Amino acid sequence: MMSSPILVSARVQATNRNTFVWVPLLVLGGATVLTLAVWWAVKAAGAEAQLFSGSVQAPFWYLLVVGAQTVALTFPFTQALSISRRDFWLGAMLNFSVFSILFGTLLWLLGIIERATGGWWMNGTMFAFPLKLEGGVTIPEAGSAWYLLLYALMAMMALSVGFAFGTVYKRFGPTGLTLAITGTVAALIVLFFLSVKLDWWPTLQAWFPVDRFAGNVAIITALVAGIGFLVSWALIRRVPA
Amino acid sequence: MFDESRPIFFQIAEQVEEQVLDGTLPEGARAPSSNELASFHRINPATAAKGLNLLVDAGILHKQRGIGMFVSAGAQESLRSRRREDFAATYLTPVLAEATRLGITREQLAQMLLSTQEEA
Amino acid sequence: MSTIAPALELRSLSKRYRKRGGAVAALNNVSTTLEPERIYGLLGRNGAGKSTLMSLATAQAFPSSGEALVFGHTAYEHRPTLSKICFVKESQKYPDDFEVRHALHSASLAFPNWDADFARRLTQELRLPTDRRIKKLSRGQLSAVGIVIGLASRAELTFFDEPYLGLDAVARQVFYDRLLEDFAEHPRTIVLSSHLIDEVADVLEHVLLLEDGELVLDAPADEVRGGVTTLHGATAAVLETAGPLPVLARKDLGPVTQLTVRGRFEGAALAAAEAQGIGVEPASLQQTIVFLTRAGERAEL
Repeated sequence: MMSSPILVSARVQATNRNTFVWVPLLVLGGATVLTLAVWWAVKAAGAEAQLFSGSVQAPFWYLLVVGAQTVALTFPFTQALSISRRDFWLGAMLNFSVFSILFGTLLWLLGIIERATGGWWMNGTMFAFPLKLEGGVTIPEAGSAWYLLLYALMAMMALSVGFAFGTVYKRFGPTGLTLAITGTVAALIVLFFLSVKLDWWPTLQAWFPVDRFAGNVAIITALVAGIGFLVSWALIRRVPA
Repeated sequence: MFDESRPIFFQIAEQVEEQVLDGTLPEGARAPSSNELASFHRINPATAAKGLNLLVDAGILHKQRGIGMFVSAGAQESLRSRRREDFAATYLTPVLAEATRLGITREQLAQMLLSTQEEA
Repeated sequence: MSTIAPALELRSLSKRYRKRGGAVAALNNVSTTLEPERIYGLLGRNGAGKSTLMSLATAQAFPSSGEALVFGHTAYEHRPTLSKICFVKESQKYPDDFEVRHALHSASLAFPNWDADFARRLTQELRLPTDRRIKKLSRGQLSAVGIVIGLASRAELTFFDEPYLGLDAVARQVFYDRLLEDFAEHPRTIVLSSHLIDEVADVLEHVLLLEDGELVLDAPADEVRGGVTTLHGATAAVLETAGPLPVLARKDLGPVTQLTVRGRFEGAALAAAEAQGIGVEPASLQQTIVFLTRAGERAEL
């Protein structure tokens, strides 16, 4: 019956199907149905315009919470089960990765359906937003796998950021968390001002050309997710249960 | 069930002794194991084992490897004779001390003893 | 015993917290050794440092100084050592929305010696609703989850943190019965933490008593029990009987004195005292500990 400690850790953390299956589906489904209802009302009122909705963001906020709770609640429980901090972290990574890939796939497929049905028969867009690729080509024309990658990375980023702030909270308490959040926001503001003051925009634009929007988003989300995981890894080794 | 104030192992030994003395545990019979005693009395098995070992040391019980502990031959008689030896110290000394305090003479005491016996 | 490493060895273990006005020691320089296959009582009031000690021993928290070795190795990030430990805290946190069955299933995955049949039987006997959310459990049911995991894990070093909290009389008996039964079949080192001494007294082989973060008593239960005696009678006779024994408490009522001393009266000494008309009453484990700690003694009985 013994299997790899990392797999055990991952299975323990995914024991309750609500966390990674039912609640995300419920949030996504709820937001989608709500959007469709609103669109239907708008169309019924006689509007002809193309419709857009950002409702797809809803499950990502939930993932932020999942990331934080994994450290705040699941971590102490894995400690009671004598799972090492390292195995806890690796198990969480495994679950997050598998979830992100599957969730990305789901949103990608929904995007394909969205195109195939002419925007849910109402000319609407909530999954397959037009994206600029290299050379200014715009998708979606062909249900590109870029959506899978982007949505998966965004899921990973939400989980990672929640996870990192959760770790900061467990390690340094509420004061530490407040400092970390205000610190992050302050750093972003300072960076923005510096970028204006020191005229970094041309350089940044050279790095992230506008006509490569999809690639840029992928790089930035992957970068943020990576930073979050590095922070959590560095701290989890000294976090008391 | 236990007199909280004395070592429990001591009381375990006493209880088994009583059973040997009154014949509940006849000679040659298997005595309860330390685990059985522990479960029954809800006490630590090591404590129960310690109690049984007192009886082994006293020759009341003997071990048979892998089977358990058994009441030794002559255990009942040896307990009886030991109790008889202890009788004066255990029972008579306190009675005499109390009698002295109350001013009861030895003769009066003897009279009381005989009349009690008659009533019984 | 000498060839087997101790189940737990604490070496000058300390935990200090920074607080306004300086550092506070939750645990101060505690050293002791727990032998394998025994039942220990970790006793002391709330806040005495029991939880801190267990958290440090299991590497769920970090010491300020000193070290804790479980079967010769620190448990921190060491899989083989961790797999020998089970410590479900009294205030254990569980993943959000976990039901009892989720917790038990998780435990079955994590503990190498897990006995699923035993867990099922315990769950039934303790009347634990497996499909109820842990958040909604009563205090007693929450304790029962810890008991089932603690017992069925059969970990070589198992901690029970105030296991009886909120349990009714029947469930308590189930716990002590199954604990002793299973301990007999699968001997292992068990640490029962308790602030109520009488509650666990009978099942202990050895007593560790913490007070304000210090280990003030570390002795076999049988030696502690009755190690304090109260003498009652005429003042002169009582004082004579007590002799040089350390006095823990004294009460006078006219010509009569009640003297609590550290010492044991058995056999001839007992007979002599009683012959003088002195009442001799040995203290229970709980009373003994109360007297010893009140006297502030660093006791080695």
